[in-house]
Amino acid sequence: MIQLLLILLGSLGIWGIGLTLAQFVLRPSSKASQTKSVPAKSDLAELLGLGLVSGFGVNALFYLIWGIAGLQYSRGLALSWMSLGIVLGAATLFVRYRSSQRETADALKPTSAAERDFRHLCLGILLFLSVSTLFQTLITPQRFWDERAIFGLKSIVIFQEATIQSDALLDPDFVQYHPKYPLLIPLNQAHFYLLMGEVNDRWSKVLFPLLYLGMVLTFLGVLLRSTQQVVRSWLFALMLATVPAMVPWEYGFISGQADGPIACFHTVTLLYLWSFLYAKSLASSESSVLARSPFIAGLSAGMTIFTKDEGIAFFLIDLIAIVIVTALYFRNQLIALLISLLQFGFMTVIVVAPWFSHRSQLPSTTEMTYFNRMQITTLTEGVSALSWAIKHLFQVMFLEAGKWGLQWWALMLSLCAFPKTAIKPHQLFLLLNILGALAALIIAGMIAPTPVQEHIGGASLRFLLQISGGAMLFIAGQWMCEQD
Amino acid sequence: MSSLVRLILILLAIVSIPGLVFLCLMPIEFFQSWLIERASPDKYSQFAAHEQAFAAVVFLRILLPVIAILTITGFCFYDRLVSFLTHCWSALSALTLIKGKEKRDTSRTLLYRLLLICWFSLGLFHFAEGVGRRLEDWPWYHFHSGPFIMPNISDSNREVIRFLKASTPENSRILVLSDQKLFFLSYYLLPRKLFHPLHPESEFVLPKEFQQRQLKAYRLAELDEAYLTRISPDYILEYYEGSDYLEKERFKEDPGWIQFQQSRHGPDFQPTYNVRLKKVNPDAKHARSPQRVLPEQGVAP
Repeated sequence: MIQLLLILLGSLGIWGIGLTLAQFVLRPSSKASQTKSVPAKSDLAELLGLGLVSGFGVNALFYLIWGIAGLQYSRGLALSWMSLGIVLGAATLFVRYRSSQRETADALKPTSAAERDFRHLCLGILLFLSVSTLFQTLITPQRFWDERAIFGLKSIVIFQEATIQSDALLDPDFVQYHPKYPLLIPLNQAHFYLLMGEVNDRWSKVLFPLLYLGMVLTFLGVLLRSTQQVVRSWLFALMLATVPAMVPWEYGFISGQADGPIACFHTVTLLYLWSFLYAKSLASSESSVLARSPFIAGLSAGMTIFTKDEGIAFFLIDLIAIVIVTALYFRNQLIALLISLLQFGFMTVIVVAPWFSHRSQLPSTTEMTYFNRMQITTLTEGVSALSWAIKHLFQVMFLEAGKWGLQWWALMLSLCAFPKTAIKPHQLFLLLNILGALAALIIAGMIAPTPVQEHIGGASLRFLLQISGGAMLFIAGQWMCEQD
Repeated sequence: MSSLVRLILILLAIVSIPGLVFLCLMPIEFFQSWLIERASPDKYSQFAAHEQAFAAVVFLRILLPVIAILTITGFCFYDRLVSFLTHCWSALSALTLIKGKEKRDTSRTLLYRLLLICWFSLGLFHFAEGVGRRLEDWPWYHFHSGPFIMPNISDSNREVIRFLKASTPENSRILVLSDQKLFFLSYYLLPRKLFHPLHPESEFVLPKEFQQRQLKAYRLAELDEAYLTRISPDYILEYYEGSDYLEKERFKEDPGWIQFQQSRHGPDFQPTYNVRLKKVNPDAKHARSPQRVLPEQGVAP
């Protein structure tokens, strides 16, 4: 019971740290405060969701920098960090409460009794789903390949050795899978082990359902802020929460695999880039939305890279997609867009720089080294894998929709229902992003040193899970933006 | 809406209240016997049925009172409930109504509603399936942590982990020569550190269950002195299961392994794969020096 209490307090501490950061980045500019510009005001859901998501990122970064500095981890450190988080979180919520009381008009509140009741119903369902996901996660120990061989193993070594500079982790023959894989998950799990003072690979999974909740709340908050459509935002947030590939599929958010967290961070990145482009395409958009969205997207993209190496590909795809959209739609605002893009890239680099500095000393046993393998000869050799990979993806996305969810069918139907909306900048960005991600998966299958049937066959479902949030955002954008 | 809500509440009351009374009056053994009779006769299925019946009854003993309380609350606040559901229904109808430039866009409205119905029906189905899956898992997982149950690994891996836990002190360094991927051994044996020189031809090969895919591996004789000095192990474990590396004449070479297995499975235990654990000379093990004495092959500890 004490362990559970510590896990609960530890989670609150992480949430508190994240809330403070989220409150800072989401605060309206002074100009916006004076004008009470509607699109600039963030919903409480956005603050809570982004707080939860960024809390786990900041927690891992804190431990990483502490470890790089050569300092030892200890229970005292974990308890102090947790206490600081709880105090900061409580103070942030108090400040938020005071400021919301001062506001006389709240444009985001539902306008009718019907909308209010519908919102309560959705909130009830979302809470029920979150509690159920949390419970399902905590009654299953870590039991899959990646969660033990890659992430769980590192977290236990970090906890037991009280450092990330462990001789074992630096040894090429120490038995661990992918020594160079990022440490966001291991460091968060090590934080819980430090709080408990022992390893319990069931309780340390608490971060996964919390990231699920954070992702759904951020999705809801950004849709509310951007579109001002309360009822539809809630409905699409519920749809995101019920994608079967995310929950309750065993490899989704109820397991300790990295695919759930990367889906969360990647979806948050896409949300803020989407929100940025959406605001950019509206003549009345408020400048603070344009200023903060690339900043938050950069933070989140950095956390995606710090979760799993797929994050690097997602970051590059984000950049390429946004450059294409800029070239097509915003040529007259090229400088302003470039500055925003630089802000996005710069924030990502800031977040991942400590990790890459540490990563350079880690052994490369079992690393696939995709970027080194991207050569014409390797690609040519892999052409035969292309038709198998495309057929396989088609089957998983459409023919097996009953197992993994209707998101790909819904995406196609939404695209066909509103083709003109799909070529608006923010929607085209998402389409390019999804196409780019699918192309990246196929190329990875072509160049990987394993048979494509094993590589793509084993990873495609988890990869599709990672981009399902983007698909869901596209679907929401199609049906919501059309009604603007 | 009012009569529909009343009908649903009556149905819920019919299911939950008598169901709850039945569940509370009947002992858990009644349900366990019922499920065991319908399970396969093998011992694993019988065990699973026994535990799953327990989990299902406990789950229903929590769920049914909640439904009963909600149903009674629904009857108590009937007017408010009807008003609430009417509001939700009207909000849902309004939000799924797609309007064109001048009038209602019927085809898109239908498409949208059909999509939502399919989506949430599928979500409900998967939610129920997830709950069912947790009940299926319960016999093995209970509330135990991973190291206690060591889930999803082969029986032989599990035996070797138990043997090493019993035979080696914590914090020891163990060099393993094996044709297995040893990630789970490494995970469950921490803080013991396992070192495994991975054969280059096995680096990216995924193993298959029951040795259906033979992985290339090093033998102890293939390692040079410099390598052994660098790793500086406290123990050396040779563990081979694949046909390319099995040495039947050496199955019983390590008396420690045989004794451990006999203590667990009885004196008639016959090993079917090679496990040999050797302690490295303790006087020189940390020295990383030329004086360190390595065991000769085939010599039992």
